[in-house]
Amino acid sequence: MAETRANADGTESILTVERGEGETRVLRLQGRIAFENLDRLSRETEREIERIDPSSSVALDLERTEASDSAPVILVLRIRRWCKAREIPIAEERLDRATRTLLTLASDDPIAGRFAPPPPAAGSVATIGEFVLEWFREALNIVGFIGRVVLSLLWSLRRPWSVRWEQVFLLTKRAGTDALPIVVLLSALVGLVTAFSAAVQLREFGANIYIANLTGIGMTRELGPLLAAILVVGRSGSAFAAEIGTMKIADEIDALEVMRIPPLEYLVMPRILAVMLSLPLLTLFADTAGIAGGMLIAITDLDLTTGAFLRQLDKAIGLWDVFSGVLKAFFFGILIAGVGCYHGMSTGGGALGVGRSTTASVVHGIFLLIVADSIFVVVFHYLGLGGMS
Amino acid sequence: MAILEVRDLTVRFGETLVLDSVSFDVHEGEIFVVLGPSGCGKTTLMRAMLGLVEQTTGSVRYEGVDILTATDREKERLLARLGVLFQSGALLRSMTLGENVALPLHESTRLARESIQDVARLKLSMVGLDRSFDTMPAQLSGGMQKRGGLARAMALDPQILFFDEPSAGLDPLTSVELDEMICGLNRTLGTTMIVVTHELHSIYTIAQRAIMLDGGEKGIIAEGRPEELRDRSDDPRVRAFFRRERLDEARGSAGGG
Ligand SMILES: Nc1ncnc2c1ncn2[C@@H]1O[C@H](COP(=O)(O)OP(=O)(O)OP(=O)(O)O)[C@@H](O)[C@H]1O
Ligand SMILES: [Mg+2]
Repeated sequence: MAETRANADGTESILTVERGEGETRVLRLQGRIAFENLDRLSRETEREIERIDPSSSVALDLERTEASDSAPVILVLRIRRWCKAREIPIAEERLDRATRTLLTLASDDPIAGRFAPPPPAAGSVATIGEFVLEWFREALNIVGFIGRVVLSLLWSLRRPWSVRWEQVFLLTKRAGTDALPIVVLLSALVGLVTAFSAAVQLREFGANIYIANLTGIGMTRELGPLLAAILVVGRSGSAFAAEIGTMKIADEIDALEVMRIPPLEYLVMPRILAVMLSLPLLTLFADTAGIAGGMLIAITDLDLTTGAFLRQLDKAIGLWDVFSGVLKAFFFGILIAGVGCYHGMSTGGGALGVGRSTTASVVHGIFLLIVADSIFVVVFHYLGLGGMS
Repeated sequence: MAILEVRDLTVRFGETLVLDSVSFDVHEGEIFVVLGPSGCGKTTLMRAMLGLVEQTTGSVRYEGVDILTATDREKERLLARLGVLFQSGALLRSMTLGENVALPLHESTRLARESIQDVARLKLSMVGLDRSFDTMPAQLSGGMQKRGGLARAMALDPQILFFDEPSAGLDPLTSVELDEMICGLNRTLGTTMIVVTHELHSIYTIAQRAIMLDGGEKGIIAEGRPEELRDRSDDPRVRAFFRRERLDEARGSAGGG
């Protein structure tokens, strides 16, 4: 029984199976074996081995092959596996010098790993449970981290010269000043849109003048701080995670540590200070822009005069409304910078890890922002500070 | 026969001249070693020979094709015959070690998925990393990343292999195994190897010919078999390197002898 074929891929190789002494089958390969014909030769060889009677043994003869890459090695490794699977002993292996040397450079059965069973997958319920647990653990870690930073912040404020103020100013410019145009634009648009949607209803009841209450209270208490904060999450929180994360994977954080420069004070504190200081100011700008947007609708769509709108606004919002928004923004600032830095500091796993941290900083940042906002609303309500005037 | 001819290779970074008119040949099937002190431009020479440095003049001809002036198609065909281990290993961090080694096979061959896996596993076993197939590079030690980079460079059994300090960061034992592997590949597949290394031990084991670069000269200060360089060179810098002496001692002994 012999098989000879001219190959479609233009490379000449011949596979023959002959009867040898006794029950031995000689599996002989000749000619060029390379990556181009490895797959085809493998299929053919496997088929031949399946045809061999398990009670016989195999002698492998690859002496007359030409190797230009490691394809023959792969073939030999596979033949060994197939024979072992069918319990056919390999009586003899005659290999060309190159293949023999390459085989000695490799381990015993390098391709075994491909046949190892995959680790058992957890059930879907367990997976969901684990995911939720992981989320809570992460949230707790973040809160713990922020607590630690705030403590060391308070501690270092007793020695104000120890804070890297020039870094704080630089970061304040990046987190605050540079964000100003987009915050103003977006708040104005949101003010415009909410007022516009409300205008239809208000006109129905002849309550046009209350547009001032609506935009005034809505912007100062809720939308102003939230809009500014969400933009800062996207701009600065993510940037912090990426900056610190990149330093982390390049061992720079460890380097700081062994130079006895605490990374918390050197990297995290200036960032928290910067956002903590600039977000309240951004909020004031957001409030103003949003109210201006509302006023534009009041004048053009609801036939109010500027004077009437402003007089009503003055009656509608008190100092507390503005201040409560700014106060929230102050805490949001700590939260956002804290989440960004936390994810930066806990980055691992190369470039992929930096990407993951950046994403997580935005998702967690916005999530915790909304949670914190809800807490504020409830607390202000029960303190009697949340009532509508 | 020269498989690679470098002529008047000059490399600048901005205003700084790093290599000044370097010329040499690499013969087919030899292990060619590039020596020299840190910062003298060994990595730069290797990168320039691969057409990776912007401000390069001169020519780098692989069997007649100049990689510096080749068209994109020619360059692609040329690069398919080369394998490169970068000084840092340069594994792609976003994929597992196994996927890293499989990447060139996916790109350049039409092998079936299982065959690609098998070849990748074979190459990893040759550098002693068969257990780390599914590991991410960030979870490997520095030396393991280096060996992983080596496995990737060898994935396609290229005609010419470039190694930038293959044994740096490896223990003596692994380093000896690595040298054996380099020699083994060279003997069996006839792979031409261009190796940047500092390890005196490896130099004697693997090098068939060597050039030594110098930062001051911005070029080659010695060329030949390592034993020749050690025993016959009268350049104090070469003597100092091979005898692990300080340069002033080498100058003294050269003057005395
Ligand atoms: N991208 C670059 N831009 C500017 N200068 C560079 C750049 N890469 C290298 N150099 C300069 O070129 C010179 C040679 O660097 P190269 O990395 O080639 O040294 P080397 O011989 O490989 O050193 P080592 O043994 O430490 O790896 C150095 O002076 C270095 O500062
Ligand atoms: Mg280098």
